[in-house]
Amino acid sequence: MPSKFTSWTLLCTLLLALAARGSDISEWSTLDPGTQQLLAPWRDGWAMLGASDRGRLLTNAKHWQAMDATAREAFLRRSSDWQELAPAERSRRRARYAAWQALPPDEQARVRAAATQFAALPAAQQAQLRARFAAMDADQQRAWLLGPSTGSWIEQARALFPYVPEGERDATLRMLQALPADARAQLMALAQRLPDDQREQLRKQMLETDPAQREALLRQRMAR
Amino acid sequence: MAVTATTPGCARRGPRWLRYSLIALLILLLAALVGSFFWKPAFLGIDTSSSHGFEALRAREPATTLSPTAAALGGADFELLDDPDGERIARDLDLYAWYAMGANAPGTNANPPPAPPPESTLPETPAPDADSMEGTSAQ
Repeated sequence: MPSKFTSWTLLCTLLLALAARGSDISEWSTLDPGTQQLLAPWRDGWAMLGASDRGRLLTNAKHWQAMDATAREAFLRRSSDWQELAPAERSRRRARYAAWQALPPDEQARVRAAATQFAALPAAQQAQLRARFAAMDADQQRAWLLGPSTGSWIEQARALFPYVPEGERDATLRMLQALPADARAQLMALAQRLPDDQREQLRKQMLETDPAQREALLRQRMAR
Repeated sequence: MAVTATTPGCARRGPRWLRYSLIALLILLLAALVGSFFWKPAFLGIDTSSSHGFEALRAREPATTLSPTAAALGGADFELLDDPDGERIARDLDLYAWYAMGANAPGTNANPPPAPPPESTLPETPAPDADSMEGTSAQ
């Protein structure tokens, strides 16, 4: 038999939940008429949409309302061209755009500057560079999707730590990215000297160590 | 002591009438199967004169169509389409990143790594297959 306290707690939680739901700013009736008109096709099913879908639709509607007529026309043209693409190509471009969005702002700025420089090159030189890049194997090319900084050392890291369990790959990558360049170089140099099992131990130890203590750990290991 | 032996390969056969009945049944079923390709029973309501099935469905308009604006708003690629510059750079992101490092950074075939890793240590490149969940269906 639940105690009185438990019953009151449950009742209060229920009332709070109902109040929170009632004050949900994304309820259809609370949307302004312009947004309601834009999102009219979703009116009947609005209540059944999840919060993330509603949020996405509202954000998109807000962007749309902020565009002028020319921008809207250009957007619809791009949307139409996008639909003409083969599904595999759309998927490829989505993946690349997601990789682009994942880059930190300074890396994005470097890539943007490189793209501008590349576009200014003569066509023959561009073709030559593209051919050189295309000659790399797929893994090497894919590594550059992680950005210029990471792309420059990730291949060496992959060769040194080839058996990273899937669940630890992101953490290992973040650990390596967070290290200053000289510390990362030290780690690579140290790892190269170690047999496979000790190298794996070092990687695990680096992962388990507090990020602020990792450089000290490296110095200590180098001094041995 | 009497021993009853069965010669291998000499199975007991059933009565002759049963065998003939089974053969007749088999012939009847085969004939029905062949006949079904040519004869459509009227009581099943199969009208061969008019088009039905997928062809007819394809010829019809969908029950509801979204306007281009609504389709764009509900599409999963709104953000990408809203950022044409970013999307254009992202198409050649790997090439530009390589070029940003002077196009001579490690990773070219001129200096291959000493031992090619059997398994990538990189996290999977995101490849959302959003075609199957494109947009949010309007109710």
